[in-house]
Amino acid sequence: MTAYLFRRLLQAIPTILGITVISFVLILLAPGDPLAQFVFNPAASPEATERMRRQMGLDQPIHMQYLVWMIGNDWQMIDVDGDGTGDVQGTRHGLLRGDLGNSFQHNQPVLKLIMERIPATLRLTVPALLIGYAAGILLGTIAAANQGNTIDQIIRVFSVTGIALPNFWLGLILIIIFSVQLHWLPIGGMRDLSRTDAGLDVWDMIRHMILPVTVLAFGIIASVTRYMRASVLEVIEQEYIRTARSKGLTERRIFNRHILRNALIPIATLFGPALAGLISGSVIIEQVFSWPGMGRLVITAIYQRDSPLIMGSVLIGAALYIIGLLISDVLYALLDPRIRF
Amino acid sequence: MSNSSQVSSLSEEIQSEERSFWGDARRQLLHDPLTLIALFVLLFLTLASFAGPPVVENILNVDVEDASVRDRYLPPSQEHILGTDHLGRDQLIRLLYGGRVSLMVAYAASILSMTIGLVVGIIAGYSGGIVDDAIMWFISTLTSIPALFLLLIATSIFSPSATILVFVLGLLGWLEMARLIRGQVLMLKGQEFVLAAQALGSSPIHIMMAHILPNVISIALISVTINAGSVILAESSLSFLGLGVQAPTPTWGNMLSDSRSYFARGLHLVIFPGTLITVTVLCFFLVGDGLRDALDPRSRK
Repeated sequence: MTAYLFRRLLQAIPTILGITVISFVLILLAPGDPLAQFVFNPAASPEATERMRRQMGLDQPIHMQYLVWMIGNDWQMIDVDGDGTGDVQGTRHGLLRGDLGNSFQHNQPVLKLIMERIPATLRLTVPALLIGYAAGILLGTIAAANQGNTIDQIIRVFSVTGIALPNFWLGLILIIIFSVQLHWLPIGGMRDLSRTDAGLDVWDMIRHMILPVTVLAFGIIASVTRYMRASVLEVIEQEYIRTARSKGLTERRIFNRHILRNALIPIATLFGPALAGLISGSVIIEQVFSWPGMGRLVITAIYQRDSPLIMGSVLIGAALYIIGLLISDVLYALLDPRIRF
Repeated sequence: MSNSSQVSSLSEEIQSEERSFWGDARRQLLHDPLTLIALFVLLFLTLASFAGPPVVENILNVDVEDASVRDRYLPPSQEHILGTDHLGRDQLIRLLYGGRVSLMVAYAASILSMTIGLVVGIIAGYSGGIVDDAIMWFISTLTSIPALFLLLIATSIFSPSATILVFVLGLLGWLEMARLIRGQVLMLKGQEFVLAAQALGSSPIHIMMAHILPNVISIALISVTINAGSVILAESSLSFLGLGVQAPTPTWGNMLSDSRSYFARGLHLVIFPGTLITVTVLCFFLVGDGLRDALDPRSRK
């Protein structure tokens, strides 16, 4: 198992390298100068802007910028005033040593900014994932058990609709109903801002989480239900279910030991894509509910053309996706004893 | 004499019993009311958006550009069937014009994706070796980046117009399609009819076009339909984040995203564009499902 995990991690390296190249090139293609705010600032002289550009390494050719981003420049002297001799010691450690550079707009390490925001995003995505999977597996199984009748039809319509709904629209409607009309739940944010004490109020936290988690979970419930229904229907047809039945096992036992276990296997592979979908989904949901997570950080970074922060977020997002795929594989092995590494 | 007439009647019987793949698919589709309804709704919405605006403008005496401060946030009425927006413009006519843009983007982007996906998938699957490895590496790399991040970066690079959006969504939407097609081609490659064509000395290009392509087109059709639905959702998400087609061009996405600022004044501004998007996407998905049942022989009863 450990060896397998290690091999999978090694296999992920070319992919991650590719991601760094692609995101780097994409961002360099972008018209617009990250130093524009200095250029248009009357207090900044052209010389100061030039110094800034050299110090940030923006005067270098693309491949050099990429190299500096990857491995750093802390052993080099940077020629800031353009006279051919180095003046300032480089400060970048490079991605390979855990340095994603400094954000242009916040002037803080990208990794630190992202790490500060990740807990807030996880607070939405993890409950959504758990609720989504639990409800989806339940509904999918119920639909399959009632194949063809009204319950099945209702669940099917519900699950296709869940995938077709734009999630920000669902969020907006829930806000209108539960926050604006009924005043039951807060409109957005992560905590009640009128509270001044720093103490943790669990009820307040949950009240703020209900709507965004519901919206995020809704999409997952819909897709897990669809897959689970198809999967259960496929397992029911198998010979070993007939064997179990002819052995005289109770229906409950057949269901728990033979149907459910086997039907869950394909659902495990859905985990990686579901996680990736959640990262994208949370970008939008955080915007709808003013949730201070990673998604809002990415959006403002894109508006501000803060390329180190954009690249950092893309990289962390991709890393989360690859971790999701790994978890899928591990779940697969746990559920299916035929798979051994 | 009687013998030969028997033979001919037998051959007639065989003739009428003969079933082609597409004939079977058509028969299956005609017995699937849900898919037919979805297809009909899509056709209706497309026709209404592309041909409807001039007709509606004449009958109701409204103009898409007509803004009027006095008529802001009017609820649905006889004069404005779906009410008016924050600038006093008629919502029905704007939804029809918006449908033109949204549906055009959906159709064009998904056809672009299908074309790229087919070409890349067939080449990767048929060539194998290093070409296949390189293509698959590229695809798995791009799919590891959350799709919305790529879309956001791409649309922030190019200021978004409908045409740009077609290219961005089309150029980012072919990955899954290429992967599916490649898998199918790998399976087909070892089959006798391909080996026979190779033995007869057909060129690889001829084999790909004449023998492989017809066998993967059904998968491409299923996939392109579902992709069109996803494109509509993506367009609305991008609009919501301010990176979609810019005003004053209406799209369903930017109409819905505008409405969130005005929902307190007019609930009809939230409900109608959202319903249209949901219904359209739903229909694309249902047609995709129906096509899968009809075109995938394994799922046939």
